[in-house]
Amino acid sequence: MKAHEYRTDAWIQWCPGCGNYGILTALREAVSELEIDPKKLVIVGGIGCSSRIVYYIRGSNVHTIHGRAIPVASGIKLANPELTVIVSAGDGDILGIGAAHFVALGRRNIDLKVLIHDNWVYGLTKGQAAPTLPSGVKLRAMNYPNPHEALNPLLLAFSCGYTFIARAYAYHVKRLKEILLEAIRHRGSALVDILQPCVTYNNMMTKEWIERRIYYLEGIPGDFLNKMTERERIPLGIFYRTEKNTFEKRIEKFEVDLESLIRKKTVTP
Amino acid sequence: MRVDLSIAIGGFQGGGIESAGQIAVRAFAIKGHEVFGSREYHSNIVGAHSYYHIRVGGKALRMPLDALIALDAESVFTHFRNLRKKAVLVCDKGSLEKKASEIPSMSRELKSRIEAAYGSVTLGQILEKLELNLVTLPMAELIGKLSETVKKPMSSVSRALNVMGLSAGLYLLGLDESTIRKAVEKQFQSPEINLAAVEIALEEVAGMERGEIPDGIRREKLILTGCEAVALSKLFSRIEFMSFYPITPATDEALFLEENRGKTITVQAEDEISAIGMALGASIAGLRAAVTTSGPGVSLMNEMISLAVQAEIPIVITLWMRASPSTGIATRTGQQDLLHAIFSGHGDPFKAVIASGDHEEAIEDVRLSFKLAEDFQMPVVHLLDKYIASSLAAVEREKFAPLPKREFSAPSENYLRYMITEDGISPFLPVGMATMIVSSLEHNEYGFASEDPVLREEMMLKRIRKFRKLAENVAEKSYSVYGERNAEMTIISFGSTKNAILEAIEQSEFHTKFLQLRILWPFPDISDEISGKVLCIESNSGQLSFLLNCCCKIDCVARKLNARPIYVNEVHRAIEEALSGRREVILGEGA
Repeated sequence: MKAHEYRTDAWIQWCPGCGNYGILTALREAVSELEIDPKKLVIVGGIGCSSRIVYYIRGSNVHTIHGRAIPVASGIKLANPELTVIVSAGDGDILGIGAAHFVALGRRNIDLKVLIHDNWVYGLTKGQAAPTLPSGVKLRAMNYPNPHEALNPLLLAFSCGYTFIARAYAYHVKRLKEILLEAIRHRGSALVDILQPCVTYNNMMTKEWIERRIYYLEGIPGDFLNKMTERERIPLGIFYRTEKNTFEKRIEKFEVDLESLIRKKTVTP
Repeated sequence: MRVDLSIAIGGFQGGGIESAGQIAVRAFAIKGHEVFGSREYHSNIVGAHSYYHIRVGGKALRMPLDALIALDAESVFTHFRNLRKKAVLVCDKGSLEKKASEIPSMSRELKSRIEAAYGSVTLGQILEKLELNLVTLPMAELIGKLSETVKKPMSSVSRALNVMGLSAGLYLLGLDESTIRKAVEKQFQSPEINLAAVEIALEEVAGMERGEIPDGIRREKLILTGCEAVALSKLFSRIEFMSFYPITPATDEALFLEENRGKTITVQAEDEISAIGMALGASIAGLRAAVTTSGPGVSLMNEMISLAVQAEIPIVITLWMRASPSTGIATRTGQQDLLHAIFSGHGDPFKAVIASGDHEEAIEDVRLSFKLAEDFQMPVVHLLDKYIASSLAAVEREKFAPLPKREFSAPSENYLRYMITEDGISPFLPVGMATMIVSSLEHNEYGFASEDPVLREEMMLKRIRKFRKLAENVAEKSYSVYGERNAEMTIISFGSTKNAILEAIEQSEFHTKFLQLRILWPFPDISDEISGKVLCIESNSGQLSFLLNCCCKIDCVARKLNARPIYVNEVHRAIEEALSGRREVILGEGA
């Protein structure tokens, strides 16, 4: 199927210039290139602008609730491992309200892809600080400078056990698509942290701000921890990749004889 | 011949009280008697007082006690006031020297109640004034004897104290040695030390005056805890996915199911939200799915319950109620989550709530829960409590039955996940079988988000029609009626109070009937069934009476608030008080 055939007839309600458009395009191209049957493609969204992506790609998609895309996606993947299951949600959704699930997914290494639409803000609720926003920054709609420190999604993912960790940029659609292809091909929990401007509420991390700082890694770096923590410039690409047993393979199944269980619990005179 | 006994076995947590209780229940079952055993314990790993309360010749507990087997002094202090005259009390000789104030693990409230009533005296001095059949055992000496017999150090055989005390007590009540030995053999994989303990204990009490327990109807009996019964019924029902977060008392069910899961996927989640989230995911993908939890867990699951309503996802939530609010008393029983179960989830949370009265009903209700959840594509709360969870009862093997697997027809060309239909039920296909959007947002028939007012109204009406269809479907099974048609009093209750009420109305000198509500939501209309005065019995502040006020006038509410089960004798008291015109009764027995 061609990428445009993954389009739906829903009107896309993101602001003009939103980074989500780049992510949408790259994701459609990636699933098209991988020839994923839309019936077998499950995009699971949380809540927020980014999660609306479930309405814009043909699939067997699920729109859940705020912060909880990962548990629902996990249940789907465990129930039917032949599906391609992709979580697509914002930085507030995945790393704020849903952080416990992001942590647990790494520990499980379920074959899920987590795309964080990382724009440093809560957009749909109109511009509050998200967990990735550095401290001291005051964006347009905030009442005072951010008193919280930012968390580093890549480092967090590494410490939780994610077996594929990448960072990408929403407007570099081709490079983003390449990274998404690798993430989807990977067997295990994959994080793709996708930087994107929020044209309406993030007046600091603009397209220009991001593009001045980003550069691409040449291959997977040996000193990936240093690369993940680089601050002045922002490296993009795949930082870390390893093979580990997925959770699906760690679950042991066996035959059970309920009648013998009943006998064990029966007393005879 | 029917034997009627109420027996408690007490000791410190970690001292084998649960094993002793299980042995006792099995012993009476082997002898052919109806038997029921309830476990009472603290939220503590080791050291606090714990006891097993056994009823022979009935399915419910009653007071007073006919016998107390006390492995330590605290057990005697805790229960002696529940003993009837001439009851058997088996305890350690050393216990008699103890004063309440000398027992560090005992609650200061109980100590002060005892001191207020008896002064600062020893247990022996208190017992002297009571008319009891007191049998003291030199427990330390007996353990020494056991150590010599089996040639093992004292420290490794002292665990058998429970079996010693128990077998002495059961023997004095009238059970024969071979029955006791059989029950002990069933309990332990290598029972040698414990069998030696039985022998030494019985030597000690040989020749003493003892009761008589004739043979009952000897036949095979399947004996399970409520948690085991529910887990096993889920496995028989072909559950395919269960996730949970550890919480008392649901963990016992989860672990039993996990141990015997076969091909069922079980996941211990990072929290209750994830537990139900994963189960919803599995259900969206077509698996039969459930979670098991208690009140605090359902509090966390609320938003997910609402998602299941809106996105029309089948899910069974097994809710084992415990004494609350908040952490409350995590290991004790109560019925405080009735309204919580019904109204959990924001925004018109259409669902079914089913309450089981005992183990056998719980087994059947597991199947009904799955069936309703899947037929009506909505959450079903299966309401149970800690009393059922940890009590042992005999159940009929035939109660377990398979449930056909979830099946899905081939997808049509233009599949609509939320197709508007006459009864509000849209054909369900799992993700992976058709393109669709399963959506938490208000949506059109395909699943696309929409805020259109006309569509919104249509979708609300669709869900309302579905709920009405559910109400029609369950109307016939929504309550059971027991007792006399034209009674002078109608007792209304739900859940685990069932067997205490049934026994009481059977024995009662008054003409009474009992309406046991089985489906609590959609709430049944029972107005035609009322006869005489109405007495509502429940273990909470009056939640059922609150709901009943919609369809009938309540004359009296009997509440139990002390986090212990309702006893048969308390039901008698409630009936009498209600007939005498009291509007409110507090039932407060139990240790």
